[in-house]
Order: sequence, then structure tokens, then C-alpha cells
Amino acid sequence: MDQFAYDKPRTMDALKARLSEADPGLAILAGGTDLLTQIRSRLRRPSLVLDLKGVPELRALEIRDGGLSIGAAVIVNRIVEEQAVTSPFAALCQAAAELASYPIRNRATVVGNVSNASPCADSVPPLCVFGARVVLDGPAGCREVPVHEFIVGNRETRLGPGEIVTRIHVPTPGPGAFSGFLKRKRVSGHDLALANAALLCDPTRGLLRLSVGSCTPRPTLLVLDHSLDRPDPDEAAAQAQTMIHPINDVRASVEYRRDMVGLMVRRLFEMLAKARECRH
Amino acid sequence: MKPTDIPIRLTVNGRPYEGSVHPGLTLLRFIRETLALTGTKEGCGIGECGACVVILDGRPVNACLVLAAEADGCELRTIEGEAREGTLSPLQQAFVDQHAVQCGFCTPGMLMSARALLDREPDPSDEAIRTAMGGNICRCTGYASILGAVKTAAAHSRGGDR
Amino acid sequence: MIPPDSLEEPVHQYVGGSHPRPDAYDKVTGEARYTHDLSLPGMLWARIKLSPHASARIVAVNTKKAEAVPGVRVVLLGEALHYRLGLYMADKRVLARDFVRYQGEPVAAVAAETEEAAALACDLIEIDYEPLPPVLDVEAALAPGAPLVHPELGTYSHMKGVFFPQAGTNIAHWQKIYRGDIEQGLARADRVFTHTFQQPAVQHMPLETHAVIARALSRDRMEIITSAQSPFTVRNILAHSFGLPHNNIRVQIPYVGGGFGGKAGIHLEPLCYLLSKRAGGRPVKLVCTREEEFNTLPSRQGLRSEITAGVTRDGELTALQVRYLWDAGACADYGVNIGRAAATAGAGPYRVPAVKLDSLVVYTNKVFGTAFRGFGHLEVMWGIERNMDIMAHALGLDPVEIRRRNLLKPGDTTITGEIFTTHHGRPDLCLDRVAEAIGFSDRPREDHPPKTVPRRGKVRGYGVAVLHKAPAMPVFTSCSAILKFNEDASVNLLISGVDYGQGTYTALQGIAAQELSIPVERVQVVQDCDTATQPYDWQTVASRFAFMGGNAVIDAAQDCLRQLRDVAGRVLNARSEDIVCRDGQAYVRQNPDRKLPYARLVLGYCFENGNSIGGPIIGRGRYIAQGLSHLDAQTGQGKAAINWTYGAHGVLLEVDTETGDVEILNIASAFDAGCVLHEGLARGQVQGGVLQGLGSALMEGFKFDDKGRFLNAGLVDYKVPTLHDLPRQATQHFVETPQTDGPHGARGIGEHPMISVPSAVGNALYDALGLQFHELPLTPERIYLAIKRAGAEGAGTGA
Repeated sequence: MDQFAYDKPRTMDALKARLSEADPGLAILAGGTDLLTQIRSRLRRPSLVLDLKGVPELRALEIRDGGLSIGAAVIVNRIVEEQAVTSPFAALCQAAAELASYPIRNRATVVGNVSNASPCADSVPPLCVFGARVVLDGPAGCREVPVHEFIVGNRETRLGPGEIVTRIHVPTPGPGAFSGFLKRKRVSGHDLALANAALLCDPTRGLLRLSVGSCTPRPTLLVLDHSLDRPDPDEAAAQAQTMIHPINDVRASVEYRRDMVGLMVRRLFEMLAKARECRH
Repeated sequence: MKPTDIPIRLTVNGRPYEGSVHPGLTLLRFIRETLALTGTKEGCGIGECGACVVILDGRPVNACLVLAAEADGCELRTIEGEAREGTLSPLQQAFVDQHAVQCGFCTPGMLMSARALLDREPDPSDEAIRTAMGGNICRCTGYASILGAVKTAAAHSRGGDR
Repeated sequence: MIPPDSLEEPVHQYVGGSHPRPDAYDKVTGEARYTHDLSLPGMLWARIKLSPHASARIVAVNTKKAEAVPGVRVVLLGEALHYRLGLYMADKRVLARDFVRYQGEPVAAVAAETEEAAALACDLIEIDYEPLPPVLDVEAALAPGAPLVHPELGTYSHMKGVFFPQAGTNIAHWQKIYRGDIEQGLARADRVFTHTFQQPAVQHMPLETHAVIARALSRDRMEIITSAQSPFTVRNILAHSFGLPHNNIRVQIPYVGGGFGGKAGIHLEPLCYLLSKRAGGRPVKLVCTREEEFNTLPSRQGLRSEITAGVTRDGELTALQVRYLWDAGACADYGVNIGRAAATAGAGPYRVPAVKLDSLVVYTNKVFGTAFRGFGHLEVMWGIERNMDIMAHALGLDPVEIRRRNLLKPGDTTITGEIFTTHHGRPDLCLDRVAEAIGFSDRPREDHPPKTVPRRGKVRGYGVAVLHKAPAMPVFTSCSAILKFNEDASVNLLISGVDYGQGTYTALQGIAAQELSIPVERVQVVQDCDTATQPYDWQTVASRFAFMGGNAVIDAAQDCLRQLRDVAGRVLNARSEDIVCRDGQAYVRQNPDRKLPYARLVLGYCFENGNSIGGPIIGRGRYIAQGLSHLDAQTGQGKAAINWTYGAHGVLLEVDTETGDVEILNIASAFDAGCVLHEGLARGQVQGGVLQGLGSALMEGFKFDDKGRFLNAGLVDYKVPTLHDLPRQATQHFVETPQTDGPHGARGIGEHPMISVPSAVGNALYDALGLQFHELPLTPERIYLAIKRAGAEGAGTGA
């Protein structure tokens, strides 16, 4: 592979020191499942690869400040495995279980999935409906940006020079909340989503949120809080279909994507209705 | 920045290894070229086929998507560590007995995924096996014999003999 | 003491059993060495530079920057190479020269001290192209005035009298099968059905990509280590291409990680040899990336089938007029024979009184096709078996019944003029077995197929399809085997078909052990094939290895036994014909306590006084295709096949009408294997072939844009079945009608499990949805959109 240097700082301060050098050839390595394929196909030629996995804080997956805190080095499979902390975030757990293949999920990180800003990232719709915030650290200090604002285009984010995503904060939904995730792909095995969607219904906080992925360069977030008491699947599906602007590509046509989005939204609302029935 | 070799220490199939690696060297090439353990195969180079699956700190990973430098401090297991002193493990024996091997190129990765699964879940459901091994492509067997072999090996280990 | 009678009791019976495959031990431990794993001292690494255009003129090439990369030893361009090569037709360049004919064609190659340096140098080779309009589908390629993919086609050397390239067109081969009076046949029909069926090219996707190590030696000699299916064919084509004596070339084949036809013929061996020669004889290794496997190395050809069938109201076929248009891609060195062979089977296993079948192998500017498990038969059976169901439903006939009425029966004549006999096999029994296994006759009939296409929920459908295939090979195809004894009377079997996973060595090991009456572990099939030491075999293709190799092994074993009996008879003072070889001992039949273990005979017998007789026993066996004839150029009549294997699949599936997802609930497959040589391996072949067939049916297919750019040339967007696609239930059934000249009555079954799987799936989809699908693959999107269109337009429309 290419000629690059490798460094693995052991503390947050050391990491930030390296970042402050603002090397234009710097590439952040968390899981590496995207970075290494990009280097292999010579889409990226970094001069320095900075491995985050040496910093203990970045490996933390914990409940903190009223939400789930996912460190930048937390692999996707831990979301599935550590149900003691992740179970309130059902849609995120479901997305994690559907993301790529099992061995990939043992390297790929949630933060990497978000930071790469691929339109088909499976973790993004759930994070959007939960109102998750990306926590950034850099020369100007710490700041937080909602996930759905952090990604501004296909593989473009609001990450500033010398900045790094240290963790993602996902507010814990209220008691009795429902969340769900669905993904459409070409095959039953591992595949990129041709469309994916997440729904959150959180009555205690008065939230009904829908997010659809793979059909827009930026994440979508549909706020349906007004219809919390009487969710209307058809209206939500119609709104979702207006919100998206899918493309024809090798994975699917516009028409199939659009129809599958409608279907997934309706199915998510059916799941919600069923969940409510169970509680009554 | 000029690349300098990275010192690494790890255990490979239970034996310590100490050396230094080029930063760009993948774990896969480190295993195949530096360690000369050619049982681990490359099928695609992008983590889609599973031929290069090895076990790193207990987790099966695609060695083509890991840098050798990242394995510093880790415990690495490859197919060469599965048989003990020339005796096949019950998992390997089950693959032989059930004809779960044809061309054999996916077999080492397949066995590593299965080994990691059985280590964390000695009695896996079919669904758990599908999840754990769905990332390993086999173009020959049609998977039925592989699924059968993993279940046989699981039953064997429940019998307590490993 | 063994009483005389018990000498007849069977011992060491392996045929039909399930002994472990010996290569499995090497493979589960990682000890098996593939070409990927090998290196030689002083070895250089090669990389290739690929054409980004489907069709273009090479205007200028600048290699200065590439040559300046540290570690680069050779930069090779096509302009230096005048060779054209190929198996049946020499239409392949080692590297493109003047023109490129497909995206992915190798234009230049580099050999360097490291793979990185070679890759970097390839990036730095500057090539100016003048893009030309590409020809991207068969109809465009056949249109008058179409650009010619090979303007010099008329000058290419090819197997004369067998292939008929049409100079000045894009037709690499035109195979005609004409029999009976087509006009009369169609006139006699009560109904005539005309339909067109299509399918795209697909990839073999062997887990081991193509890999070669070549070493050029002094005095025009070379050594090649390669992941190929057929060592002798690689050697033969190298010898012809470079004008060298065969003995100057040594081809060695270690373990091969899957082939499926994609490693038959010859591929990158000549390029690596030329690089090594330029590098002063340093060995050169080239391992293809997965992306090159798609872009550069051959695939299965696409096919367009235009079928017109005449049928009586009772469902009896009266005539079949077919045009098969094979999308060969930019080369057809192997593809011409697919167009020929599949045409001979191109009416299905049916009695058809009048046939007019034209099979055209057509060049286009896409990555080219080659042999792929089934060799054109999955493709032709897609149309034939779908059409059969369309006719059945239109006539109100049961899909099983219409097939039964038309299946070949003893005394019938095939479309190439072969008389079907009792020992050909039982397609009817195969059909019955699969129909029974999926409960076809008990299937729900009410609203199946539905009159209105269902748009909500999941629906189930049942489908069947039959199949046949014979080995496709030159009329003089031959094979040989050597059995040699070791000091302890264990045996080495030398044979040079390659076992790249299919398990033939295991079956042959069992045959040899049974013939020699020794434990199977005592027979070792030498794994690495080497043209310098192993006896000749033509190619490992066409499901012919177990058949021909099995016969050669039996012949070799008989030769050993003759020699054993001869020496034993002399030692035991008996006539050699009275010596019985059993359980590793030679007995005198009338007096079994007079006996000698093989170990005392196989290297020669030494009497007490020191006198010795005999000598090392080496068994020689051979087999040549019997009675094949060239097909008549105008009518295709002749003896095309040494044996036919018949089979059938039955499918029960469930469709989610809201997504188009298909789940295979049950698939039953039956083949008339003649004799199952090894049960475990036979089942494994069927399980693997069926899943590969489901890949072709449901998900696989190349996609190109209108410039001829290959859109899904890698595993991210070209999906193959995974463990998640395992059918919920799958059964394998074997009918055993002995093939008179087969080893123990066996026929090949390696390819057949894949054939007609898409047809059975398509037929089951019709039963589920009432929609006729004409094009593969049957992806969720295609199915969903067809359901949606039908909902908009009313039922009964095609897709």
C-alpha cells in the first residue's frame, strides 16, 4: 500500500497535538474499513494515518449526560452486544445489526459510519430520529452539531480543520418510546442500502420523527410531532417521498427507491401500531 | 511525513512475535508474507468475501482491512493455529466429515469465523451461524454442508471434548 | 484360511460410498498451497494497465514516467507483440495493439521488484485514445453497417470445418441445426408461440483470482505455474502461439481455488512468460485483483433467445424455430464452442420433429465470455423451459404433463440425429422425482396462477424445469492415467485433469482402490499437475473428467492387476488367470491359502535364492471419446455427444409482493447420474450448483452504461449468494440408469445442477404471480416493478 506514516497517540492531548499540526495529508483511522479500501483503490493517498484506538476515552460506550455516548473508536458490533446500555435505542441496534457483514462490524465504527458521510450509512437515520449530536473537538474547543446537520453532502461534513469527532451523544428516549429501523437492499446477505429508514415515537417527549437514508446526499429528518397521537402512515409516506430525491444508479432505479421508501415508512408505522397495541 | 517502520509486538497462534512493519502493510500481507502463514487467503481486498478472516483479540476480522501496525499488542489467531500438534480440531474434522470443503480457498476464513462464533456461543442457532458466517463467501459448496459442519462441531463441543 | 467362495465377497467397495476427500485435510489446516501462495527466488511482480474505453484507437503511449519508477524492470506494450491466440479461434491479443475492444482490456504490463512499484508504474503509463463508438448489444452488432469488433476476422486461424466465422461481420461462429421440414411442422401446429428471452453476462467468481508465475529459460524454454483448469491445453496453446516444441514448456498446477470454466483454456500465461523473457528470465508473478477478474478476465456470455414453437392442442411439439444470439463480448476464442455445443442441446430434452435452429456467436465491445459451468445450457434452457410453461398455461395443460408428452423416449431422434436409447437415461423419472419432492401435484390450484396479480402480502408458487447436457469437446478428446506402486504397495495415481474443488480425485481414488482391492487411504492422487510428469489429458471441463478419467483409471488398474497376476502366477505356480487379487493379496482361486501380499510383488518378486522376477508395476490406462463425428456444416447433424446427463428441478418459492423479494422454500433436484460414484461429493455438487444457479436466477448480471463502461465490476455491486440465501429446504435425488460405457455406469453431473434453476424459478414465479418473466436476473426490483405495472394495466401482462 501507499507511503504514509502511522501514529497511534495514547492520550487525548497527544491526539489533539497531532491534529493541531493540521497536516492536509492526514487521515483519521478508526475502524479502517472505508479508509483502507480508499487507499487500496488510490482514491486517497494520505501522508499520515492517525489511529484513534489508542485513546481510552474514545473507546467508551456508556450512558452519560442523559444519553448514550458512543466514542469514536466504538465498533458497530458493540452496539449490538452491549444491550445493557444500548437497548433503549432499538432503531440504532437494528441498524447496527444490518450494517455490512459481521467481521466488518468488528472493525467499522459508528462514528466512522457517520463521519464518512456516505448517503447510504445505516446508522444515520436512527441517529437523526434520536436527535443525536456529534461532539467535535479541535483548535477552537469543543462543539456539538446534530447529526442531520453535520453531514452536508455526499462525503462532506462540517468537520473543521484540525477537528475530530470524539463521540456521538444520543439522547435517551422517554419511557414507553418506540423506535425501529428498516433497510432495503438487493440481496438478503450483506449489502449497501438502496434505501433505509428509521422511526422514533417518544410520547413523553412529544416526538414523532422519521428519517430516510440513501435517497439524498444529506440526511433527512421529518418532524411529525403534531401527529403523535394520530400517526398517519400514508401522510408520513407521502411526505417522506416528497422529501427525498433518489437517483438511478447501479443499485436501484428512482422508482423502486421511492416506492420502497413508502413501503418502509408504512411498515415502520405498522410496527409502531403493533408495539402500542402490546402495551395496552 | 516520511514513513518509518512501526515496532509491533503481538502473539500469533499463542507464540510471541516482535518486529517492525511498514505502516502501509496490511495485516493480511503481514500474515502471508512476513509470517509466511499462507493459509489465510486474499479473495477481494475490500472485506466483501471473508477469505482473509482471522481472529484478532477474539473477534473475527477481515485481515485485508486492518493494518499490521494496528495489531500491536493483540492476540492473533490464524488457521494455522486451529489444529493442535497435527491433530485436527473437532471443527476441522467436521468440515472434513461433512464434505464442507470443495476448492478450499474460502475454508480458512470460514473456519476462523466459525471458531470465533463457537468460542463466544457454544450452542449457536441457525440464525446466529448465518449472522456470524454470512460475510464468508463460498462459491462451491452452496453452504449447506458448511452449516451442517458448524452445527456438528457445536454439538461435539457441548459433549465437552475439545 | 479363506474358503474359496469368500474370494467373491466384496471388499474395499468405494463406488457409491462417501469416503473423506483427501485434499480436505490440506484445506482445513491451511496447508494447501495455491498459486497465490507461491513465490520463487528472484521473482518480480506484474501489474496490468487496463483500457478505460469499450472501443478506441490507441493514438500514443508514453512509458517514460513508468520506466523511471524505482524497481521497474519491464514495461511491455502490445505493439511489440504480434501474437494472436485462443483455444478454438485465435482472436485474442496478449496486450491490445492499435485498438482496444473492451473496457478492461490489458493495454500494457509492468514487471517490477514489488507489486506497489508495478502498480504505480501502470498508473504512470500515459495513453492517448481516440474513442470509437462501441457496439454493445447483439442486435446492434448484427445490424447492417455496424462497426466491426474484429475487422480482420476473415484472417483468423480457427478449427476448420467445426467453426464458421463470417468475415466482414461481427459473427464469430454460425451454428445451424436443421432437421425436418420447419414450414410443415409449424403448419401442423394448432398454436404457435413466439417469445424472446434474455440474460446478461455473469462472473464465475472463483474465490482464488487468476494467478500465474512464469519463468522464461534459456533456449526458448519456459516454466509456468498457474491456477488453470487444464495444464496440457495451456501448454498446447503456448507451444502453438510461440512456435515452440511442447517439451520446451512445463506447466504446473498446484491447488486451484475454484474455476467453474473460467480457468479453462488459456489466460495470462503468455503475458507473464513474455514479461519474464524481457526481464532476463526472472520469474514473474501476476495475481489478478477481484476487479480485474470482472473487468479483464472472461465471464459467461449473455444470450438473447428468439423462440417460435409450434404445438398441437394436446401439447405435442411439432416444430421449433430458434435464433440464439450469444453476446460473446470482444473475443470468442472459447465462446464459439458454446454457441456450437449449446445449439446441439438447444431444443431441450424433447422430441421435436422439425427444427430450424441458428446459433450466432456475436462480437460486442464488452468483456468477453468463456466456458462457465453448464456451457451455454443454463442459458438456452432459460428460454426453452420458460416457453414450455407459457405454452402449457395457454393450452390449459399441466406443466409436468406437457413435458412428459414431449420428453425423449427410446427410439426418438434428437435434433442432431442421434437415436435416444434405453441407456441414455430417464429424464421422465427425474421430472417425476422433483415434482413429487416439492408436492407439485398437490399444489393449490385455486387462483394459481392468479388471474389478478396480487399486490399485498406473500404468495407462493411452484415450478418445474427439465435439463440435459452432454460434454462439449473435440471429437478426438482423450485422457490417460498412470498408477504406480510404492514399496509398501500403496499406490500413486497420476492424472492431469485438475481437481479444483469438484472432488473428481476423490471419486477416482475410490475407483482405483476398488479396482485394485485395497483400502482407499492406500491410493494417493498426486495433487500437483505437471505436464512434465503426468500423462496427457485434454481439459478439465464439460463434466467429462469423472467419465473419461474414471474409464482411464479402470483401464490402468486392470493393467496393474494383469501384471500382478502374471508375477503372482509365476511365484505360486498357477496360471495368471487363476490368480485373484483381493484385499491387497494375490490368491490362487482354487487354493486361497496360497497367496502373496501385493507388497512382495509390486516392485518385483525375490525368491529365497535371490533370483528375482517382475519389476515395478506401473499401470497405464487411457480413454478416448468414442464415436463422435463432426457436425454437418449446413444441418448440424452428427454425433455430438459421448453421453447425455438428464435432470430436473422443482421449486417452491414465496414472493413478497410489496418488495419483490423471493425466498426459496424448497428446491428439489434430480439427475440421472448413471451411477453415483461418491454420494457425499455428488450431493455437494448439486448443493453448490443449485445455489450458483440461484445466483444466476435471482441476483447476478453485468450492467453497462451506454458507453460500455462496466458498472458493477466488483463485489460491492455484483452480489453472489451467501449463507443468507440458503434455500429453506433442498433435496438431491439420483436416478441411476447405467451408461453402458461409463465407469461403473456413471455420467458426469458437475455442471448440471446449475442448469434450469433459473427456468424453474421463473416458472414458479408465474405460478405465484401470473406474470411471465422473460429476462434474468429476477431481482426484487424487476419482480416488484412487474407486479406494479400489472396492477396498473390489469393482469396477464409480461415482464
